[in-house]
Parts: sequence; structure tokens; C-alpha cells
Amino acid sequence: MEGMRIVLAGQPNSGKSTIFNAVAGYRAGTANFPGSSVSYTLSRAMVLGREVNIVDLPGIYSLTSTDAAEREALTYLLENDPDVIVNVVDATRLGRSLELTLQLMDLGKPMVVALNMLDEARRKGIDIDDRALAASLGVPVVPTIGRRGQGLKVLFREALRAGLSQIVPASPVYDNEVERAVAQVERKLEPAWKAEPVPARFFAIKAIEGDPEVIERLRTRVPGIEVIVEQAAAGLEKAHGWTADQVVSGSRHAVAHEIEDRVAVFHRGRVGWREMADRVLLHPVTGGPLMALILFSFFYAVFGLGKHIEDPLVAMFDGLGAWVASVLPPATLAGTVAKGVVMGVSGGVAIVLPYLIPFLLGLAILEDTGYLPRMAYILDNLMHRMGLHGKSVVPLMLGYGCSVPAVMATRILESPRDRRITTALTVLIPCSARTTIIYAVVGAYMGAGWAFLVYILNLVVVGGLGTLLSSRMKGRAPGLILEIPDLRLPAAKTLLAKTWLSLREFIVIAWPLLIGSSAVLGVLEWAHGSGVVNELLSPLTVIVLGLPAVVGVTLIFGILRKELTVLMLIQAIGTTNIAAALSPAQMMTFTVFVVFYIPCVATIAVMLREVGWKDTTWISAMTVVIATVLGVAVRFAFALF
Amino acid sequence: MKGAWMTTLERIEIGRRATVVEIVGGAGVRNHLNTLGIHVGDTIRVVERAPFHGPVLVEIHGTRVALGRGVARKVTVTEGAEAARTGGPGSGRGYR
Repeated sequence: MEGMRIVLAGQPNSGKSTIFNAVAGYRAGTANFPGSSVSYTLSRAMVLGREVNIVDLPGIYSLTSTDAAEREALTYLLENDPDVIVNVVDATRLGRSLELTLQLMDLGKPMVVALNMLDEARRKGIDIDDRALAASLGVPVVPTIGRRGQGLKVLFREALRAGLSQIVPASPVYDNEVERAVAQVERKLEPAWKAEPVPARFFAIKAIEGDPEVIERLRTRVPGIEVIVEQAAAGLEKAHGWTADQVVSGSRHAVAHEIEDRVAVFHRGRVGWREMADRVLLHPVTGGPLMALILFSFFYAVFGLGKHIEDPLVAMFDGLGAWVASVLPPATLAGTVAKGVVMGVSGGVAIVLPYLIPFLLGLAILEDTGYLPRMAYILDNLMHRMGLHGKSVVPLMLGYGCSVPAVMATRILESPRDRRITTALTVLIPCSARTTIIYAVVGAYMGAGWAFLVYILNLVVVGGLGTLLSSRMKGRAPGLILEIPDLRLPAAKTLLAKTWLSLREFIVIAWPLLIGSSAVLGVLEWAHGSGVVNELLSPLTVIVLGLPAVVGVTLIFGILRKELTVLMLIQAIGTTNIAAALSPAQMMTFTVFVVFYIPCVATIAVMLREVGWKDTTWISAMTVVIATVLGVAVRFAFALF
Repeated sequence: MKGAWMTTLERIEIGRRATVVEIVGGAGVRNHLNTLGIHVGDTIRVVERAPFHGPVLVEIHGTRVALGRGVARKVTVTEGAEAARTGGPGSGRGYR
């Protein structure tokens, strides 16, 4: 079979993406929190000398859609007809994971179970008999430890074999009443269901569970089916005294846990460092202060490290710039382009990378240890005061890395209202590009305290705006429901791979753009074009914000990528010594304005896709207003004190 | 499950166990809790309670889940482990 399609499906945080990355190279972002993959990733890979397509689905707790990620996974499974499903099961949560396994078995596709995270299960005192599990399910089971690559070869060999043989697992059997109700609906569907890839049984079960999307799908195919579904559901409710969805999911729960009881033995697990750490990290008294301490040290470590590397590099590149200027005078076209290129290169190496690398590494550590969901837990009641709940903390924290994945991460929120508000707030969070600007301008020339103040100001604005938007919009989510995964020591290899993935983004996309823009700016200056732009923007830059006119053109470039503002600024003033052109008040005004104003092009693009053009427009307009108001406020605050 | 003392998950002290009797509220919350392994008849242990009406951290089948107070209030429970081990759809052994 040419180009067999293997789909990895499993519950959130079961290690699917880790297995995917082990086979496909590091492409899917992994982290230690549920919902770190919110869309699917596709890759070609060689498995035992065959080329196959591997799809990493977002983590799903069940095949009933409760959030955007689950809807996406379900739609993919129903519409793309995979050749094999590799169901990644977290061995430490066997019973719960099997509830998804049972649902996947109803899809009527060849399947292999990867019994993953066996090392962690052993640590928790859980022994699982994988042969007994395979016998109970009637599906091949391969023990794996994805993080160390153990068992993956066997896993994919089994997957290929299952895909070639096309042996489909038998459907699980639920209790008598459920089976009777399912049969009742299935019988009605059958005549219209001959050539369908997914069996009628699957749809019958989901319809009885009351999944509105499935019922809608069925209605178009078999008119009047909803009456039969209602009858079947009513029968179940009468027999059990519970709503039909609870009876079905309860029955599945019972089957799953019965299998678990049969194949797993629980010993008393050790109370390890994880448990002890959580007692302190989540303690009512120590949890909050520790979080503040962790974030504060993160900030200072990145700043200290970055500054250490930046200073000698800047001195070196200033020397290089002066030498280039002496060889090719800046007044000539060649000279001005050469100057632009040198500035572009040096800006990337000397100003962006020293802060970007430690920052990305630090963020990767926060993500991989599993601290983010703990922050959601600690900050839940604060977020409630804003009218949101703790889960919004995850996209907001990711926003410190890059707004693009952060906006996508809002998919983990259940209510559309919460998604819209969180999206608006996420784009205001200073991403790593803006962090570079804060550190390289305010931090480097005015001191770390001032840089810290920018972050505090930012949080105050985000908090205030969140409260305001929440009070205006209806449809509040019921509250926080979030799995808190075990703490984990991050693997150095994954941390580096992850940092590299983000860094490569900068080197491959941003840097060429940076150097190109520098050269363009050089030509613009030579042709006196930038003067026109600066002139046009001067009402805002000079009159309102009190900045030198040369920053005008930098703000335009900044829409492409935020780093460009500071790099263009350096080029426009002709030295990496920003203090030569801007007073401290101007540095602060400039930085605050740049942090808040219009999201970059990539963010606008992802917002258009995630929340639509209306929300994108008002959010972007709002950021410009906020940036201007704050810029003016900072300007006059400095004038007064 | 009648005679036993009914309260909500919000009120259970740290370190105590409780058995789920009912999940009130819409199908959305119920589904979400079900998928995380919380069903009627299951025993839950309260691990931690955040201050100032913050969320409750519970342990269920070896998994830890944070539930906002609003959600915890929707989970009716009886204190103790095996009190309501009969009858509910998730109570397991009564099935099949």
C-alpha cells in the first residue's frame, strides 16, 4: 500500500506528540500540559523502509466534542479515512484512557494500542499485563516508553502489519439495555449505510449520547431518525433513571475499569519528590509567593544572561560598522545598502539572540515541567475576578513566547466568549520579540527595574481590559475543569529541540526579513523616501508621543515583525547606542508604544483564522488606541516627575 | 445512597474521600467531567483547596484534576469511600 496513513490518537498528555517527534523529527510542539497540541500535524516518515504518512491528532478525552480541539480530531477521523489508528494510552491512567480506546474501536478501523509511559506507571506502583490487555481488547498492544524511544520500532511494525491486513477490531459490548438501544437506531441507519467507511454503530451510539453534530449529520441522511434516537434514549432513561448520555458513558466507564481491574495490579506507589514538590507548589500559603518568585527569577535570569552576552557583541559589531563605513561611505548607494546589511546582521546576532535564547529555554522549562497548569490552578480565583477562569492562563503564558501559538492555544477554552476575550488579551502580552525590545532598550539603558515596570504595567492593562471586556460579554463558562499532570523533569534533548524549533523560526524567517528590510531602509534613506514616511507619521510620533521623527518608519516595519522596530531604529540613528538618540523618557514611551500597538502580520493572520475578521479588526484597532494612550501617559509621567 | 449525608464536593475537607452521587448542571459540564473520569459512583479524594474560593484539587483514579469552586458545587457527593457504590451508571460492578 503506497503512502499508508497512520493516525496517532490518544488522550491529552498521553505522549502522542513525543512518539510522533521520535519518528518524524521534532515538529510537533510537546509540553507537559493537556492540550499542548491543538491542531493536527502531518508528516511523511520512513517506517521499516516504507514511506508512510503519520498524523498527530490533538489530544482528546473522548470522541464527544467538548472543545475545538476535540471537534477537530473527530472531524479528521470521520472524514479522512485513516488506514490505521495508533491509540496512545497513558499507562498511569489506564482505566480512563481505555474509555477513549473503546470509542475508537467503534470506528471500524485497524488499530494498535501503544501502552505508553510504562516507566511512570512502574514508579506509581502500577503493573500492567500487556498480553492480557491485548486479549481483553482484541487489539495488538505494544508497550512503549516514548520519551526514550523504547518500543517504537515494534509499535510501527505492528501498525504497518495492521494497516496491510486491514483487520478491524470487534466492537466492544456494553450492557444489555445500551446494546438494545443502539441496535434499535442502527437498524434504521443500516439501509442507507452500505458504502460508509465508519460503521453505523458508531453514529448510533453518539446519537444516543446526544451529540448534536452527529444527530444533524444523521438527519440529512435518514430523515426522521431523530424520533428513533429519542425513543431509544427515553427507553434507556426509563430503565436506569439517568439521562441516556450518562448511561452510555457510565457503561463505557464500567467496561473500561473492568478491563483495568483484570490486567493491572496496583502496589503502593512511593511518595516521591513530585508529590512533595506539589505539596509546596500548590499549598494555599506557599503556592502564590513561590509562583511570583519563580517568574521573577526567570525574568532576572534571562536579563542577566542576555546582558552578559549582548555587551561584548554590540561593541564588536559597532567596530565592524565603523570599518564598513570607512570603506564604503554611507552617502553612496552601495554604502547605504552595505550599512543596512551590517546593521541587520548585527541586530540579529548582538541584540535579539542574546535574550531570545535564554528566554526560549526558560519558557520550554516552564512548559515541560508541567508548571503552566499549576499556574492556572493558582490564578483561577484571580481570573474569576476578571470574569474568566484559570484555563485562560495557559494561552496568556504562551503569549510570552509567541502570540501565534498562544492564539491557537485559546482552543482549549470551552466557551466562545472566553476564547474571544482571551485572544484579545493574548496579543497584548509581550511576546519574545517584544521582550527583546524591552530588554535591549529599557533594560539595557535604564536598568532591569524599569524593564520590570513595563511588564507590571502590561499586566495591569491586561487585567483591566479583561475585566472590562468580561463585563460587556455574556456567556460565561461554568468554571475551571483542568487536568493537572504529574510534574516531570524535562529532558535536555527535548528542551534543546524545542528551543531550536522556535529559534529556527527566527533565523529562517525573521532574520532574512530583517536583513532585507535593513537594506530596503538603506535605499529608502538614500532616496530620502524614509523622510516622507517619517513626515507622514510625525503627528503621531513627534506631536503626540514626543519621539524623534526617525522612529516613524521603524513602526511601519514593526508590523512585519516586532523585532524590526528596534533594529530599524538602530539603523535609522546609525549606531547601536540607543542612548545617543533617545532620552530615557523617549525610550520608555517608544517601548511601551511598541509593546502594545498593532499585532504583527503573523498574529493577524492566525487571528483571522481563529476568531474571524470582525474580532481581528476591533482587537487590532483597540491595541493602537491603548498604545497611544499609554504612550502619552508615559511621556507626561516622565515630564512631571 | 439515600440515608447517607449529602453535600457538595466544594465542602469536602482536604484529605477526605467522597463518592459522587449526582452531577447537577448542563450536559456540557457533565460530559466534561465524565471524560476526565469523574462519574456517578466514583470515589474522589480532595488533595488541596486553593484559598480565597479558588479551585479544589481532586484525585480520581490516580489522576489529578483542578475544579473551579463553581464546578465543585455542581458535584453532589456523600462523604466516605463506598457509601454509594450501588446503582449509579458508573458504579461498575452492577453492570454486565
